[in-house]
Amino acid sequence: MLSRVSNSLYWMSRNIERAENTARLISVRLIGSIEHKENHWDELISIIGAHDDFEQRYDRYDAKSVMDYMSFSSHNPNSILNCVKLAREDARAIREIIPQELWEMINAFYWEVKQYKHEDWTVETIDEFYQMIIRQSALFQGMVEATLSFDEAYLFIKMAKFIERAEKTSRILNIYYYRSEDPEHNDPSLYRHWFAVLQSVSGHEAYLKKHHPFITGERVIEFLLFDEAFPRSINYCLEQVYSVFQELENGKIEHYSEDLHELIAKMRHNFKTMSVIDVLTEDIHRFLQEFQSNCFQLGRLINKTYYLGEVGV
Amino acid sequence: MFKTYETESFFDEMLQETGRPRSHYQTLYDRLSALPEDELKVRHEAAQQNFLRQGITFTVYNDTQGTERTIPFDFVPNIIPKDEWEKLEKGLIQRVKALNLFLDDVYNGQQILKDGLIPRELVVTCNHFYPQVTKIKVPRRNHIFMAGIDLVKDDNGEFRVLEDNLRNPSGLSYVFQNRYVMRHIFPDFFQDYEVQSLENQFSHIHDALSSIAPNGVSNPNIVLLTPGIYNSAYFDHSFIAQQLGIELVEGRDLLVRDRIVYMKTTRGLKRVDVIYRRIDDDFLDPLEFRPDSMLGVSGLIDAYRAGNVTISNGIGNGVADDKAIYHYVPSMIRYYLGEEPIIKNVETYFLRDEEQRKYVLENLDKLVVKQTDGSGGYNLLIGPHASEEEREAYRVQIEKNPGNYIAQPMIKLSRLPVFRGEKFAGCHIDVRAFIFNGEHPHVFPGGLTRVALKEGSVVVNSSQGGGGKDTWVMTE
Repeated sequence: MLSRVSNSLYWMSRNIERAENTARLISVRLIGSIEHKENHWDELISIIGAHDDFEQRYDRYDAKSVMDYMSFSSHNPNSILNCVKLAREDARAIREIIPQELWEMINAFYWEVKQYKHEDWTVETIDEFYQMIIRQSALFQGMVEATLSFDEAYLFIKMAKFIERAEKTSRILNIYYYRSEDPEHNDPSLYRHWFAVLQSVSGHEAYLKKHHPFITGERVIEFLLFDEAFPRSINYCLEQVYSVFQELENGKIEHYSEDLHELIAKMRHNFKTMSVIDVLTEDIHRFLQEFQSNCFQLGRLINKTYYLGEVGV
Repeated sequence: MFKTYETESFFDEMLQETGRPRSHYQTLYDRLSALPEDELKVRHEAAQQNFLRQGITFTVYNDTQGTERTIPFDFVPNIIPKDEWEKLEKGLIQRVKALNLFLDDVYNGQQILKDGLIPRELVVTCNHFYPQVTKIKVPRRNHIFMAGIDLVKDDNGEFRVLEDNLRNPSGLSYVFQNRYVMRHIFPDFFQDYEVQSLENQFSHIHDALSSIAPNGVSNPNIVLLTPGIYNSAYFDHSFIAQQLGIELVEGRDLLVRDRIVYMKTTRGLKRVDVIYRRIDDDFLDPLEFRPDSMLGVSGLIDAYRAGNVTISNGIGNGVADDKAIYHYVPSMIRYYLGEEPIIKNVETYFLRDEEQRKYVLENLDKLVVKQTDGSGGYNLLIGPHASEEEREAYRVQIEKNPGNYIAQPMIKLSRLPVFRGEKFAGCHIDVRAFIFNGEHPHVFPGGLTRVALKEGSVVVNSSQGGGGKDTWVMTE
């Protein structure tokens, strides 16, 4: 397969996943803000790491500004609009590779986002928009599973999705862990806080099934880092990345794929040998930051191994 | 709905002067007349939406917004009876054969110039003549893998060639999409018609491409080279590559090492044998042509010269579809094939010739004037429709550089009804026929019918707001 094609598949997939994650984050925050005054919209900007750019364009961290920046801003390369636009451009560049149905789905998705009257939205109406993003992303995943041959193209889409997910889960945990350390928290507000964290990755229901309604920071962290079955836990994502690598390489390690294999092995090792207690007693921030820098490295090595274009994070 | 329809003084494909439909249109005419107007409107709208959803859009150049629009589609098909088509096929094959021989001659012995049939000056001063590619051995001496020849019918209902497109003719994908949308939204129109199907055409096209592989390559790696997604014909490129099952590549996907072309894959380099290129000559190789080209591949022409790769359509084909050379195509047919041309040209005046120039300048209000190397319907003067100022401005241009222009009488292009909401109106059409040239030349059944949607307009190019219609070649 052409390297440019793999690159487009990779970024199409990451951008759809990114748009969905952003929609989910905002939607949870939006619902939370209805009942409670403590909003901290700036946290969302922290998660995407864009304070400088944001402050150049807006004078305060309120709901409207943050949502506008994260959803529609053409200046923000990771705004939902930009992600969907980029995904569609990549899909268009490879539309002879992907099934027609999948292309039409992405094309229709793009027009729906682009034609959304974003000048007119209100806090009352906007959530419908985020729900649409989440649904379209699910439709994308479903179509990929149902219409694409399980060959190299599929594997690049899958790899990109799980790297993006793992990375986003770690960013969410990192920022929200800071907030949980805030001394002004009381028990009910901490409970709410960790519940919202779970919702941000759509993990509250899976968590409740496992742990019943006993929500503590330690357990949520354990769930999102180490759970073996939840599709957005970092451990699960990492295992998926590993299995894609195995499939791409037919279980072999060649000279050219050695570095990539080594990095994935190292990342898995951290998750296999550590427990949540280790992570919390050591330094969770350092642990998560190291993971993020490994993710960045992972992108670079995939680029190098398969001659993709400019793959970064 | 046809009660108020006027054929005026034009040849109408559907209706005779008596107002009665021609026999091959009778069934469709009855069907259209029986349908409620509202339903036609709904279906017409559904057809346009279908194009947008499928992303079959055209990027409008010179527009910073990157506007995309669909090519408007009209549901009244252009129906061509079997016998009429068969004659056309013969004429098209004859024409492409002669044009190919001309190209081979011009880039090799130039016998036709030595024999004085075509003025040498006309060829060597042509912008599309590339001395860089003379004497290169082209597999099967085939310079034209795909030709797109534009045909019109005059007021006697006789087909004539308007233009030969031998470089990168586009529009094939629209032929398929028009048929696709037609079948989905107007399935009932096909009842009682036996129409040639398009589905099996790609095997002919693939065969033609395989047959021009460099010597000794039996299962060639064929790619389609596109400028990329911002090119207005990108949909065409992507559709053809997909249907042929070949890779769609951009210049940056290719590289040349030791005079061999490779494509960059996830598993390293893979050799390329045949390139169906949709990039213009000037941009193909920055080492040979425009040094600022970002679309091409350095060293490509050298690999071509070494016979390690086929580039098709051939480089420098523009010398044969130049509007000044057009005048000589009937002579070429007689010269190379010893046959009489089956399809006629449109009469053409040369402005470099003093006498003809004098006539043209005196009759600008009756003629169409074109630039010899222009395309896409830009910079035309349509004398009868132009204002006095426009004609004057053109006159100044012509006098400055008369060799750059030709003139043709205003042909009364044939018309077909187009649905305009409440009623049908007659609009001018042309047909772009596609000819594929491999071991045996093959004419694609039907081609692309383009229609000038602006009232009274005769310009059908999509860049000028033209639309499309399905084209039916009858099987009996």
